[in-house]
Amino acid sequence: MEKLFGIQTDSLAYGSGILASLMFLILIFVAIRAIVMFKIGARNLPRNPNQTVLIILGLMLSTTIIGASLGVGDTVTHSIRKVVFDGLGHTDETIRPTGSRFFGEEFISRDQLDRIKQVIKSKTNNVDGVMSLVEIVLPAENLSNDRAEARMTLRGFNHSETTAFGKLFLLDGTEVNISSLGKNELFLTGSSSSTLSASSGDQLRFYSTEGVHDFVVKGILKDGGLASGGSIKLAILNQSDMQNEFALIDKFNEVLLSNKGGIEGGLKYSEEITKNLRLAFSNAEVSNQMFDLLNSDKILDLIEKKIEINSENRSVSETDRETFGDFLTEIRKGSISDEFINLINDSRKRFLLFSLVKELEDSSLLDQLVFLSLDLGEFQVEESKKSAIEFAELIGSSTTTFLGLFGSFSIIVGILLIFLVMVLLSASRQTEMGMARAIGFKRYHLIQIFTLEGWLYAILSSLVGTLFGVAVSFTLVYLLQNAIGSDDFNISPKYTLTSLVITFSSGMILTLITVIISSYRISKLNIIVAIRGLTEEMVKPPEIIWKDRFKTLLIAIFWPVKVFKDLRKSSISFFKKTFRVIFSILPPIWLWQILKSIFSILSPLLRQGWPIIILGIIATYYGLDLLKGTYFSVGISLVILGIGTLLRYVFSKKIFIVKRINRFAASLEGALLLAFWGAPFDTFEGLTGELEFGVEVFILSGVAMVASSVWLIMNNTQIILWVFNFITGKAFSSLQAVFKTAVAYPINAKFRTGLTVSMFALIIFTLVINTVLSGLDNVGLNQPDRLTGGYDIQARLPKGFDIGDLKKNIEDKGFSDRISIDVVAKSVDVPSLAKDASSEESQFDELGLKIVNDSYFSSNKFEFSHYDPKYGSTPMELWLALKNDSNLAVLSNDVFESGDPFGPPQEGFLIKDFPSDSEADKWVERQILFKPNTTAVEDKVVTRTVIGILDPLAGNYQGGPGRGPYMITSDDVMVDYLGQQIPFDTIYISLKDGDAKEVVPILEKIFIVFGMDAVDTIGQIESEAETGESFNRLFQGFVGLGLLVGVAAIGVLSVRAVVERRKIIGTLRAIGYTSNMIQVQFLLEAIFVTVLGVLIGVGLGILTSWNIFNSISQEVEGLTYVVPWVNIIVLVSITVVFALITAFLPARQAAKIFPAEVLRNE
Amino acid sequence: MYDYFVKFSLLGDVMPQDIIVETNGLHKIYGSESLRVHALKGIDLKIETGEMVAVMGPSGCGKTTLLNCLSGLDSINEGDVVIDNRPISSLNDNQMSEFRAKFMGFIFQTYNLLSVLTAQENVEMPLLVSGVKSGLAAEMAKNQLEEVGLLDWIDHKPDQLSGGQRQRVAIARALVNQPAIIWADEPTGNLDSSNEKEIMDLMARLNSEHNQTVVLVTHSDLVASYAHRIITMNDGVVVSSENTAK
Repeated sequence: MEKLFGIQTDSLAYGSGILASLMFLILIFVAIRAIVMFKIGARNLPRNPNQTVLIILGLMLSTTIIGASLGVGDTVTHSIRKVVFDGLGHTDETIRPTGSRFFGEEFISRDQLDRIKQVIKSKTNNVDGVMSLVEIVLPAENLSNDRAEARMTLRGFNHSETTAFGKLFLLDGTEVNISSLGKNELFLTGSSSSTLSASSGDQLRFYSTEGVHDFVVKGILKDGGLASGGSIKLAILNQSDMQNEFALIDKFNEVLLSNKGGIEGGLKYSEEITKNLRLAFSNAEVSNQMFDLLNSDKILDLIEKKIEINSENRSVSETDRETFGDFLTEIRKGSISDEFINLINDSRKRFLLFSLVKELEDSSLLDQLVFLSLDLGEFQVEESKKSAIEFAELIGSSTTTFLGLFGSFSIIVGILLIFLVMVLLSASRQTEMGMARAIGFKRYHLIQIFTLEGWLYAILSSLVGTLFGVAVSFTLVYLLQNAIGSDDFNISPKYTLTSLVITFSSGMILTLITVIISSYRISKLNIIVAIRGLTEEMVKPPEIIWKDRFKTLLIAIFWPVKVFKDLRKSSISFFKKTFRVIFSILPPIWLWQILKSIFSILSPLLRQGWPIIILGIIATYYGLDLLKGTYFSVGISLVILGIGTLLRYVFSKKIFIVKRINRFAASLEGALLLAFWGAPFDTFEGLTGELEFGVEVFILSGVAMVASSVWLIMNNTQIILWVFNFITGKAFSSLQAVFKTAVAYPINAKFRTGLTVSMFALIIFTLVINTVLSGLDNVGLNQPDRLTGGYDIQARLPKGFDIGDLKKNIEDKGFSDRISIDVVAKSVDVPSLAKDASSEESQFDELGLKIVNDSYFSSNKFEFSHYDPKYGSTPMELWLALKNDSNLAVLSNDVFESGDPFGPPQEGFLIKDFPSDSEADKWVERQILFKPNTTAVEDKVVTRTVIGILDPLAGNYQGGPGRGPYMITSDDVMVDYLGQQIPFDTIYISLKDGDAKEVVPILEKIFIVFGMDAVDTIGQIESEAETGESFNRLFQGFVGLGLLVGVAAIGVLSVRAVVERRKIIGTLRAIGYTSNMIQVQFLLEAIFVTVLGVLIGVGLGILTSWNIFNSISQEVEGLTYVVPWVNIIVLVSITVVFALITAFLPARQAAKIFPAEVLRNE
Repeated sequence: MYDYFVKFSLLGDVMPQDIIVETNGLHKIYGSESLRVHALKGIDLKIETGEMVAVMGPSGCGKTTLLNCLSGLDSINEGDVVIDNRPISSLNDNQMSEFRAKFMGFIFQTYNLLSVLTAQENVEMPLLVSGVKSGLAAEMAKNQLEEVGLLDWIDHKPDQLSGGQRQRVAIARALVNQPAIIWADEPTGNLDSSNEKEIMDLMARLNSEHNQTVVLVTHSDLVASYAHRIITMNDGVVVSSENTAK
């Protein structure tokens, strides 16, 4: 992967590596300087090896999760890269004629080819090969055995041009070349030969619109070199022979370029070569004219405004902002530059600029620009390999980001565990530390001891965690391979050094930071409290002397002066002095002093609550102004927390009610925060308007809801105790003593219990949401007609093939007894551009046009999300209206903005003035203008009246014209629009009876000459559901790793509880507890904490998934909310069983405690 | 079995025999071959029902070990411990636990109260362990705390009580089951002299009122002065057993 969270992975690796190394070096320095403290800390590792192993295992989990997500990302990237390199071989760039490939191919002529070659020669030295390509895709049949393939790619190469593109080898290793092919001979690649079961000498028949073409297989090639095609079924022919056979003399589809540096090494030249060639092929005059048009103050002002970061531009993406910036720089130069020509020749960037110009509402300017752009260049130069590799990187990094995003809960939980482990470690050494402080150890000595001990744990746990991360990623990848299970895409495990560095470094940084923070907290112990085992509540907080705090700040600002002054009086050697000065005035140390003193001034103020309220109000205001949901939500949360803190502060002097007020304030905070974050997503929309939420809000809301629930519950434990006493008092009288203590202990240790409960709650929360939402996908299985339109089979044909009357064809071929067809409907997709007729804007956006026949209208069962009631209120009535009036049309549902922060950016025609969550019958007919998006036909604008919007599910099996929205209208438009009747390329079939699964291969066989590619729609839905289910399981497995952290926390807590309560265990044994009762008590404690966490997680998960479901339901009708209780019960049971297993050993240890031994110690 | 113990114990109907605790040639050895500590070297002892016995002696002489062996908290290497005509070595771990729950109460120097429970809940514990229903247990615990003068403190947790109050809770916990024998290991070791006296007055009163046998280990002459008999130990053997004026 090259990027992660928008940052270059290399930079991330360097950054994290350097930071981790710096921290490492600083700690080595500290360890050398304070060798005694290091020894005190380090001796704890060998002293209790079991505890050390447990701590390392606990601390490593965050690292493991980071490592696993990076490993999966690496593998996905590597696997796609492999597909790209296998598919493209030595080809780095391609040159094609400008214009679309509609109605037959556009070709490069012999003259153009020569010119292209000359230009390449003169413009770059980094190309080592230029090759012309003739390529067609046709259905093929092996006459020797009746095996067929609907889409066989035939490539014709000219041997004299192929040197740089690799050699050809037969399977037995013999080198062959294209010139050895005789007339009507070809080579097959391995995958094509196995599809057709072909071997040398077999006769293949290809079917084209012109007739049949017979060839003989000369040999089977090894993949690679010229025979690179990835999963494509490829046949390689002699170019001139192919041109003769298929009437393509002096016609070439593409020119392929191979860069110097081999298959992978040539990538680095791609950008430069593409740039040079685009310049060379661009029409300088047109570029100049466009530059002149764009070089105006109003356009420059407009671009300037667009790249400003403010609330108006919140929807402008980083990449778009960058593109606008590039245009601004180039236009400001005042004269046309090569960079400008490059920018304007890049179609994506050009359209982006045009969409901006559209905002000027100067339609004549826009028209001129659009018109000029049609003549910008003769050829398109594409960085084929580089773009494909970038796509691979994008998929890889998206996978990691996705896993990282959901794994972040587990990472947070892992960090909580580190914190918990450190706090428990300190608890076990409280008396020891108190004594150390009493005999003169300073606070920083304690920080040093703990940090240095934690440092050793961090190194070991990061190492072990990284190894486990690699192992887990490979396991997940193995599962992924099974989930995909495709022959076309093989997953090859990969773990890059960069990821290894990031995993280890980030794991160590996270662990160390947590260790340092917890060490700081630990060091703040009160000596008396520590020695006598009292509670912190009994300590009076120190009095705040503001003068001293400001003085400390002043000293911190002039820190070097203080260091010099202190050292002047010191009697240490000059060398040591110099060293200490250099170390003390290092920016991080200096900055730390300043920050520490600022914090010491701010913290008492923050404890008064009002500054938090003010901060919250500012954040809320900022959020509302920028329409940023995250700021708004954080702001409101701060206000709630501020109110609680203020309440505590105001009543802190009222000693008699302080406890009650504390409890009340905490309950208020918990309840309000929970209500705020748990409320349906649109609760505040009436007040705030529609706010924009990023993916971060998912993590934030999860953490906020779990934290507030745990906060609320841990501050109202009396209620839980009461409930437990009530239940156990009635139901289990003989075990009530055990129950009472089993609940009382965790409830009393609020901090550690709260932390562990949060861990379970966070993970279960994520898993429950995933489980509930994955159940929603089943709508496809429950109501398949909404996806398939009621058609059993959908068949695609290559462009130009006219299958005619399908039923009659089947009858003629004698298959009517095996295929019983009820209905046949047809469609063809035409790339188009469209705009709303009422819009002032002149810009047309991409909107596919699906032209359908009458039978489609009367037979399909697709539904509508919105419709104009004037035309009917049921799908049948609406389709009938469309059939009767060819001026009507409907739009696909993706004309609405999805607002999905996880989804890809939306492109093409959008309806912005009609909210997608409006009631179904509120749509009012509107006129849409559209025109063909191709230069192959005359630019003709046609109007249709859109009477409804399709159900969002209807797109899935429509065989839409590619990505993006589309419009369905009657085939009456065809001649008027395209100037000719074109054949339908998609056929929808409903069977009278019979199994579609069995009919599909028969159909493909009958219509092989048409290259028919058919699918059984229900089978497709089922197999997709199965793949989806596998992905869900994979995802659940990944997130479930977090449960390990929770379970580890239970283990740590149990071990600690046994150590802390030895004497109490002895006492309980003395008053009559049996050893079994002790064991049961410890197991019950583990169950109680686990179940509490699990219940919170399940509750919040169900609440959040309900909110998500409601939000989705506004877009997709007919979804049903089902809580998969069986899955959840299984999940909960597994969690509890694992927690029990973990707690079993400590519980057994507790049960074996010999009372006399522990009681004697006193 | 439970019913028997509950009925027997709660009625406060102590055993008909005069001798409630008896040991014959009791030996206790700690450690392994390389480090052996012969803590008790053939102790022969008889304690009568309702007797208050103080065990004294220098540190490390085996007082606490004797108490632990007598109460069944610790195992013995040789000899017999017979309580209520029952050799306790014949009881398995569970039977011994039940036996302790019905017949014995314990008071420790450091109170050993459960810090997470209130005074009342601490006192309820032995009752609940014995199978007493929670309602009755709560009432009995309350009565017992009233008897030790802590009725107003029943909802307080140990860390909200003074040392003397904590020990009273511990005494209430030891007595609430109305056990036949109370074992007290340095019951006033953590208290000042006025608290020490208060606690001992309380124990003496309860001993005489309920006719419960009390065996206490102490260094304090004041505590010992409340006992009917003082057993002095040294180096694992009983060197004297003298009745006091009481």
